[in-house]
Amino acid sequence: MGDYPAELIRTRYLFDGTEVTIRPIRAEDAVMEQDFVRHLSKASRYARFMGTLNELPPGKLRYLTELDYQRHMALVATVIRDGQELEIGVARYVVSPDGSSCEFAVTVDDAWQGSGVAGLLMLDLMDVARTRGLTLMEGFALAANDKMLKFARQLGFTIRRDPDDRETVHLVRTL
Amino acid sequence: MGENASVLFRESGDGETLMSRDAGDRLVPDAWVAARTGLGMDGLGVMNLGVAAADRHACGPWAKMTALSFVTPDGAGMQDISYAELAHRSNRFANGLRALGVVRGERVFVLLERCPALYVAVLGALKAGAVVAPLSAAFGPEPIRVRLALGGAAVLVTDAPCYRDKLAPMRAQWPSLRQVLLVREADNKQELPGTIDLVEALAAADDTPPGIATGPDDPALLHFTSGTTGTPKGVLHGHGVGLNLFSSAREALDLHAADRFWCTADPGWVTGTAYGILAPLLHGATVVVDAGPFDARRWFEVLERARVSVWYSTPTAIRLLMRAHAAGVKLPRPTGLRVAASCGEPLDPGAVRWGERVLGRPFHDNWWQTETGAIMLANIPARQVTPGAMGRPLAGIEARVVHRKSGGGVTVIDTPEATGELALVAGWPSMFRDYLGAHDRYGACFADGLYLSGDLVRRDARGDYWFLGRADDVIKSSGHLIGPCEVERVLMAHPAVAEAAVIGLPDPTCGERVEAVVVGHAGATLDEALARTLLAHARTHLGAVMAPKRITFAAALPHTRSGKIMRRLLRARALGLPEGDLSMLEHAEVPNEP
Amino acid sequence: MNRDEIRAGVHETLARIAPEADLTAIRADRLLRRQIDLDSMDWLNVIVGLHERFGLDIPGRDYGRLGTLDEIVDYLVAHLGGERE
Repeated sequence: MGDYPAELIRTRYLFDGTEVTIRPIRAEDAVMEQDFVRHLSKASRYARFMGTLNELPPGKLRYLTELDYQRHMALVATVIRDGQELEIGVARYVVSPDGSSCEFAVTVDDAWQGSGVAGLLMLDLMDVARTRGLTLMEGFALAANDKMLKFARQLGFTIRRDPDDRETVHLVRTL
Repeated sequence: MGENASVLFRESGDGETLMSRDAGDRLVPDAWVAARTGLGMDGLGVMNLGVAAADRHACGPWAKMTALSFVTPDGAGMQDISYAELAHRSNRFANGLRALGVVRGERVFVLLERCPALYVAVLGALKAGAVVAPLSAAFGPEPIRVRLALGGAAVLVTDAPCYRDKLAPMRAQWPSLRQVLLVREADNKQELPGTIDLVEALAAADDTPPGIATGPDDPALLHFTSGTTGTPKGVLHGHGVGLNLFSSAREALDLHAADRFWCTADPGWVTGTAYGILAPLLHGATVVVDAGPFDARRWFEVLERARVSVWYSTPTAIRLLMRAHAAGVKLPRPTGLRVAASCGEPLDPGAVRWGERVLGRPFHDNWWQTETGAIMLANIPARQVTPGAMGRPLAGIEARVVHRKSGGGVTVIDTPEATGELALVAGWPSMFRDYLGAHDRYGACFADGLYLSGDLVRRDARGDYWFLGRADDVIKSSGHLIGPCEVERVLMAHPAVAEAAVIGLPDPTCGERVEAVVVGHAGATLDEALARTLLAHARTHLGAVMAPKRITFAAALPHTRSGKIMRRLLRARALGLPEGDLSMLEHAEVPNEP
Repeated sequence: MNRDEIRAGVHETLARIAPEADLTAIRADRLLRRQIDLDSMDWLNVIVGLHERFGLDIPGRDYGRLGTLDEIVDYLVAHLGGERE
């Protein structure tokens, strides 16, 4: 595990003025991350993992929360509810073996979709990637996930369709 | 065509359409005006599918005409029900429903094998102004549970074995369900608490028309189709669906009164209701019904004995017939067959020609979806068949090939050779009215005045459309859409399963075959015995038609680095194909256990 | 192969395709497909499975004679019986 990059902690505001904290995820967030995944609607969970799961298996949960912050970076967006930190969204990238490109994924709690938090997460994530010398960001989305495709277009991603794989699309943008 | 109709042709992308003025002086395709006339719809916009299907032929010279002709269980004869009897029995059912407190718009689910009560219940519920939701008896308990809950069923009509085995244990899960009406065999009077015997329920009801005035926009039918996210979509249709059912059955199937029509589709799926019950009755034809399972020789006996003149079947059944024929089953050419047609998935040219050789008639392939309500594109009998193509738009239907655009909207591809998503100009009478409880999903199906089908097609220079595949991960097996997520969720419910991915693999007989790749929990012994246990689990909960045909194990599912399952790769591996671009694959596959 | 062995082999073939079925509760003189949830593809796989298990080509014209468990066993006994003692 790498040193926690505390310099990446930010306070941001949603469209309705709600204050959110955007910060790198840490191993201690495992319980919060698991709650977040469990709380997603089935459709959102399917869109994120492109598979059916009810919660994260232990190995996968560790993979998604115990990061080196070099090869693998994840930002969570949290709000304070009843004195507790509540995760409302998460965005991450993992660097490819070529060292210059990375794959991203972004997920927002169903109740917070449309709040602006996905955009905040992705803009911050792309900033981090850019400052670390990455030049290309890519990702996958279900071809039927219209909301995600629209969002990705607005962020400047190009949508590529693969004739051998009709159900997913490939999203690409230079940083 | 009405007397005062002024006739003209309108040029559309797919050729000329004969147009007429309707009663409201609007210019509409002549086929629809003819359908209104044919259906006896008056100018006041009164339209009831049940009345149109059963009652219009129940008086005068047609009253004794056979509406339903059942192949008897021993296969030796036919049991007939006349239009007059069908009208009376469906009236009685409608009045019985009303006496039970069913009001307009409430959902009446019908879960029956092909028995007389099925047809009576569907037509009767329509006459009562209720919304009919047919379910397939081939469903296991889980798909039934989900659909009853989603549809907010008020009444369910089913039979005793089905209720006892699949429904009784879960009865508490449907708070909206007030009554279960049971169709019983005379010799089986076992008490099932919480149910009413259908015969007893209808004993006091009379058989006069209930007189519920519905209009074309009032909801009539609720069909379920599978979506990519796993929650089935409840597709809602109005009584107006009858207009396109009538006109399409004439144009695509050449169906006329006195035809003997056999549709082999299960009545729990949209084809089995639309063309297995409604369309032929709207025309005053005789519906031939065979409740037995598929058997090549027997099917040909039915074609002959029931004097079938128009036959509507599915590619899977046709390919099974071809296999049996190739294996030496004698299939004598039916003497009365005039038209053979197929729908549900693309029919290969070999099957079309096989029809020509063995039946003396080519199979006319056509295309439609639950959402479209009726056949939209077809190789019509009036035109030479293009083997392998799904045909051209029917009169009044305008098709486009489109690409979805950045930032929403679509680009229409006008070139003679076009590949893209099939879209239809919105507003034809049988277009679905909503997805029940998911209006945003409904809205997402439309852009720039077009309905976007989710099916990828090619339009050739001659104007024929060819099916290429789905634009999502829904699996098309034996003509049914199966959402992988709905299957995965059942597998995941088994304690030995940590992860499951369900994929569709090309199959020469059923189009796509459902298979599952499963990652076991630590401690689970991944052997043949567990594979069988999981197969049994899936089949018990889902039913044979939805369950995987094969379950294999993997140490982990292939993921991208961010943790998304790569189904493309699972399919390639299962088929032994090149794995393609693996740059996105996370090679250090993430273990599922610490 | 005697009748019991053949019956056991048929059971095994069915259990591979429809493992949920309780074969002890099956009425051997009634149509199998009325008692076990087998779709058309499953039924085709049963025929293919019998062919593989018993090494016997079942010509298509005989499919119609394989409706019940008894019919299947009788058929196999008649076609395998003498040759496989």
